[in-house]
Amino acid sequence: MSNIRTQVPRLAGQDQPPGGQDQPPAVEMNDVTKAYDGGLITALNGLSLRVERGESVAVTGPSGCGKSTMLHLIAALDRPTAGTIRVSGADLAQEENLPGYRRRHIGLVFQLHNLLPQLSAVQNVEVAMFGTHLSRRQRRDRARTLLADVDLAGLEARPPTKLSGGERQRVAIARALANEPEVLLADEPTGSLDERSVDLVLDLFARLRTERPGMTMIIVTHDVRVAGTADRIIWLRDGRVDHAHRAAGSA
Amino acid sequence: MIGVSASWVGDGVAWVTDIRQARAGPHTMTVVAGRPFAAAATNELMLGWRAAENLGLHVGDTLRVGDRTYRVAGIYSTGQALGDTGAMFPLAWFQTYQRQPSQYTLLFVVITPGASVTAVQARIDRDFPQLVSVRTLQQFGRADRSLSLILAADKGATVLALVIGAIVVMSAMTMSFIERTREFGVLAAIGWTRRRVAAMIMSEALLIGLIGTAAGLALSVLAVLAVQQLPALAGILHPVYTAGIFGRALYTAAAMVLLGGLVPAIRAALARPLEALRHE
Repeated sequence: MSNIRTQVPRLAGQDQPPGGQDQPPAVEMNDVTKAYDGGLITALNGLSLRVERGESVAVTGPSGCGKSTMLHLIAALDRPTAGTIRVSGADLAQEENLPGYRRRHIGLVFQLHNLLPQLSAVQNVEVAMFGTHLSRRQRRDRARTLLADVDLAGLEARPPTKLSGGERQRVAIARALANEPEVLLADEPTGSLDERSVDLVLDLFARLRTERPGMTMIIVTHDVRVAGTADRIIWLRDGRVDHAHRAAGSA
Repeated sequence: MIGVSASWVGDGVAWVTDIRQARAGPHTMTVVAGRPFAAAATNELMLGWRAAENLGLHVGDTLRVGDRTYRVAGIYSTGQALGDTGAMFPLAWFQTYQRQPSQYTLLFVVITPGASVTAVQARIDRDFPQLVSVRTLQQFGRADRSLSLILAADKGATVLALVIGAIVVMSAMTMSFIERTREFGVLAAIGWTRRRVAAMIMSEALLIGLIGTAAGLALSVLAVLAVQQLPALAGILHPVYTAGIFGRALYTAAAMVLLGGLVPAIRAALARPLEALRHE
């Protein structure tokens, strides 16, 4: 996989090498609460979490423990009821341009690939680059390269309906990588895949960790194999961190 | 000058045997069989060829109209279905029969080539204030209220068709876009702004509108051509194709689809990404 550097605008301080001593953590959540229905349902209950730059974290726990809600809050798809969330040191509550924040900092991979059915594979990757200053040709070239990186060269013109589940998920991962996100958020990325496709996606994540050491990965999963690829596994229960430990295979 | 009765009797197909020319005001009438009726005849008439065909009558046959029997002196063609499905009576007899001696309902004025039509019309209006002079079909409504009613009904039908079309188009577009709510949520999740999502919806709506309008215009031209082939309407329907007509169709259709796209565009712009992503 080639490590592609785009000319997408970055926030001040982001061009510093990852993992530096004076770098703020990639994601920092302090006493975050998220309640729904006027407080009747509490998805997150005082969650605090710190994820360093370049770190790979698997988040697991029983259904309803707040795993997906945590990802949604980091992606600024929703706002916390209380607490603060900082991404690369910047407080999301102060961020006025949330779409711009998502485009510049976050790559999202969903359980269901959520590709646009009327677009081809390469167009699905390109749409993530709309709003950047890249030209149409640059977007197309970059999308092709990203698809080649996820071993989908030759399938660029295929619509999602003509791709297997694993291929669709790899297109979704290519889309998430389109703007070189600092943080890759994946919500059950293997949850709807067959065994062979799971292997391909796991291999892809492993390659990403090697070839993009500065990118932080937070993966919500129930799959122990996926969790085993991470540096750290965090268990959530009742909307807060129950316990955390380093994965068996991590350094 | 020829009196024309209002006893329309149906339609038929072409049946031409003889050609002689006669003038009926600005319209050419051709006697295709037999002869014109005698000016002073009281028991003769001429039938339009469609009427003759429909009734199975030929020159020399008789036809009972009201309480009188008439001999068919000739059969004519006007080139218009409306005229060809009627009958003509000698003016003097027709005025007597209608108990309206010396009454005329329609006069055609033939103007010397080179003369000013406007000046002649002004003079008619001045010298014969009891008459209404008209130069165009549109002005005919001043003298014939039925035409005004027909035009009003035509406008009413057009408005009704527009309203029904607008409702159908707008609801179809709204439903189509609402089904794609999740897609708009995905776009928002990967960094599209509300404005960009709304602009995409409106652009798609406009594109669909342009394609639909082009297809609709082509189909309507074909439909008019097909309708013109109907024997009953031969010679009556004269479509007018102008840039203005196509322009009106274009901006009316564009307005419909833009309105149809507006609701989902606003909806998508206001929706929270997470709610859109959860939309089934």
